[in-house]
Amino acid sequence: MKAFSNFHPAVLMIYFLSVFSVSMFIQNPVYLVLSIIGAVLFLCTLQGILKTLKSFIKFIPFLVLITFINPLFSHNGATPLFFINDNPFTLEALIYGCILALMIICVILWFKSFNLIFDSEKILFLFGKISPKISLVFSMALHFIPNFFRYFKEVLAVFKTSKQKSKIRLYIACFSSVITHSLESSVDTADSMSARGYSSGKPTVFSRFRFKKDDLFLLISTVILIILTYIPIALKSTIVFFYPKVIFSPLSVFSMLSYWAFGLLCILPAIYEIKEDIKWKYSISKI
Amino acid sequence: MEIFNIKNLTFSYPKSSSPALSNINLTVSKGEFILLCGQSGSGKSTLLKMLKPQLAPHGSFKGEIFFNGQSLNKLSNRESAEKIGFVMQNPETQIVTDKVYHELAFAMESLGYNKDKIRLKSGEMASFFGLSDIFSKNTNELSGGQKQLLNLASVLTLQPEVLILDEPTAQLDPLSAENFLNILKKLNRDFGITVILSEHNLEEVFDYANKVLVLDSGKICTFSPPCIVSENLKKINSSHPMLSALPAPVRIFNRLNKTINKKPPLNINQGRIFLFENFNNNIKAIEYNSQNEKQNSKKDTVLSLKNIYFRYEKNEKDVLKDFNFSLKKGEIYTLLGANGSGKSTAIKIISGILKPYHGKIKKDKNSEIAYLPQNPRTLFIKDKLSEDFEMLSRKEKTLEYAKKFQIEHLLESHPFDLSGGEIQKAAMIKLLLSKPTVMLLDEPTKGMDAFAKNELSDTLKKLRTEGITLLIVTHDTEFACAVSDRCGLLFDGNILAENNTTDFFSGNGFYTTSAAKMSKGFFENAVTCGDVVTLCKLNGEKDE
Repeated sequence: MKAFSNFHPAVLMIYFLSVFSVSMFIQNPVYLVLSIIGAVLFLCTLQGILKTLKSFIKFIPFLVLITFINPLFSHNGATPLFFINDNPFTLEALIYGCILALMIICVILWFKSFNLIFDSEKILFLFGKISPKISLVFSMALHFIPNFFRYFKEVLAVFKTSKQKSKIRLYIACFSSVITHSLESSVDTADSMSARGYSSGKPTVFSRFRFKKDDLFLLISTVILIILTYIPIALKSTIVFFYPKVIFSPLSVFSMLSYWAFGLLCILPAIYEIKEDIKWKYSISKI
Repeated sequence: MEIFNIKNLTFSYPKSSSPALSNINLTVSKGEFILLCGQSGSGKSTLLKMLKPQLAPHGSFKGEIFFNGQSLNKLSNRESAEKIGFVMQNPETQIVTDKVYHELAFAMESLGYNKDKIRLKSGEMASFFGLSDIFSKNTNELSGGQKQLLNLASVLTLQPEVLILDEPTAQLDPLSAENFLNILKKLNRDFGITVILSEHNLEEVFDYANKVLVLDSGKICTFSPPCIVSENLKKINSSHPMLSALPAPVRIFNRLNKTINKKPPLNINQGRIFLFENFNNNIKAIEYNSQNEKQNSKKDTVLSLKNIYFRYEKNEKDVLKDFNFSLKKGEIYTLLGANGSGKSTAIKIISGILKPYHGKIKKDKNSEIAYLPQNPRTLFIKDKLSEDFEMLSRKEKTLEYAKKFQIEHLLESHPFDLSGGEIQKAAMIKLLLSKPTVMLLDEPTKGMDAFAKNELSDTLKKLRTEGITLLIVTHDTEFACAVSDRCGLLFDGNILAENNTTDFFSGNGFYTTSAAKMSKGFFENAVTCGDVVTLCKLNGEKDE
């Protein structure tokens, strides 16, 4: 199921940017854990539990590696665990390394879901809002690149059985001929563009997206939740110090509000996917 | 109401001594279907491009072109884009964007239509052209026929008054070509769109066209309704080269024309009636001496494939299943079949580009195999033709071959500047330089006009007399019939039928030549125009 991808690209972009901003820049393990939970749940609904867990397990060695590398280079911190070559290996640096690793994993996971949700059509639409020309160039590139490599493969296949001595030379010659061919055909493409009125007026950008009621709902909830998350952050009620000693700011109504808001924001897509799934199954069962 | 009016148009390309078009006078009325034909290099494309201001080539221009009574030069870019639709030959290079729906919207986007109108029009076009299923697909994934339909649909979203098409079906297989041309006919008949079409395969549209325009080296030979085209051509020159490019029924009529003076049949059905009404059929078949065949079966096998299985991906279907095939020394064998029947795959396996996952390939020890890919341009990777040849052989040798194929004037040009027929010849030379004993040709007639095809079939026959064995894969039944000794029909991954050419084509009801279709049930084994003419002359006319 990919019900979440049916939202309007602009709304989706705002959503992802909100989640990214907190996960990337706020160094607080609570946000990170919430964010990772949200990302994993979302990926589970998108590509199945088994596949997600498998890819998640792959991150464990990475987590361990970064966690232990950081204290080898950073010797700040008040609690030395042991010494290597007279350099302290501190608890604080270890914890900070762990936080760094979690942050990287968190961003990778969210990017993975971003990739599954944002196809070229959505990216083109967003670019088109900024500049129609960039959007067109992007679309042409997406058409051009696979064609280029297909033709390259075709040429290579022809020469596969040839008895040319130097393979590298042959490859270079093939490559340059493919480039020439592409340039040649782009003349045709340019003709076809001007024949269809390109550059004869102010172009519009067509997209198949429409702003629906659901989009408004997601937009409003995203904005409210992210504001609720950020106000306590701005007031420093969720700040965490790592050096010289790890100090969490004390739990308060304010910080709890921020954690709850962010947690809700992160599991929003998973909830939506599950809700749509149930709705779908229920509708199907009526047939 | 005239839509185009061309007055004394003369045009020459810069640095060229002779004009590409000279003294063209022409009027096209609204709603007409004009078929433009002529040898390659006769100025067809130039003339068509002159009618579309954005594509008009640079050069010296005399005369005037009027569109709807107004000078074409005064037409704004926007008007020209909206009113004159243009579709080019190559389906691939005309596509601009990555998605089908975006390509449909492209023209409307460029002209700044609003979103709702674009949505409506692109949806409408997609349903008219049957593109709904592929609406969200990438344009790269489409077949050639679908791509060309998409190009046409995209142009039509602006609702042009006139459609100009420059050999739109040259790169398509016969089935897609027929489908494409039928849509053109429908557009003309049901929506009154004026169509100006240049084509080299005339069988499908000749009878439908209102007028046929024949160009020869930049001059108008004739501009007349199809039924009097051959008459007019004969007036100019009794052996005018265009006569051999006309549809089979017209050609047969022309060769029998000495005694009968009527309007020629324009399609196969009319052709059959013409035969039935005018000729006896006491002698039903041409007799061949069966000696040839016996000799043939005694010949050595150069190459054989046994129980070949092949698929492209692990989880896909088999393209070839239990494919058995053998090639005899010194013969021309043609493998025919529809799209996706595995023809190209089979030839790639024989050439060694692809490896089967099961089965045996036996080759004669001394055999040297050369392979001509579907797109002969892929054979050339250097900046000059001569450099490409010299990769394989000495200069004198290449010069000798170039003279033999009459392309020595092109040796210093870039391979991509050559026309379809010329690049084919160059490719032939490149293959011959590796001294092959077996040559494999994949769709050698793609994009060729009738003259180039005749020339190619002569070349191939000459190669056979030099002892080279040839295997051809093609859709083109007429060409297969003209060159091959044996033919096979590939279907669903293996060879369904295999026979000598005459028996093969007279045995098939649908997958056969026009001449065979025309004489089906009347004569028994007439498969070429020549056969039909011979039998008609043997039998004589009915007395009335």
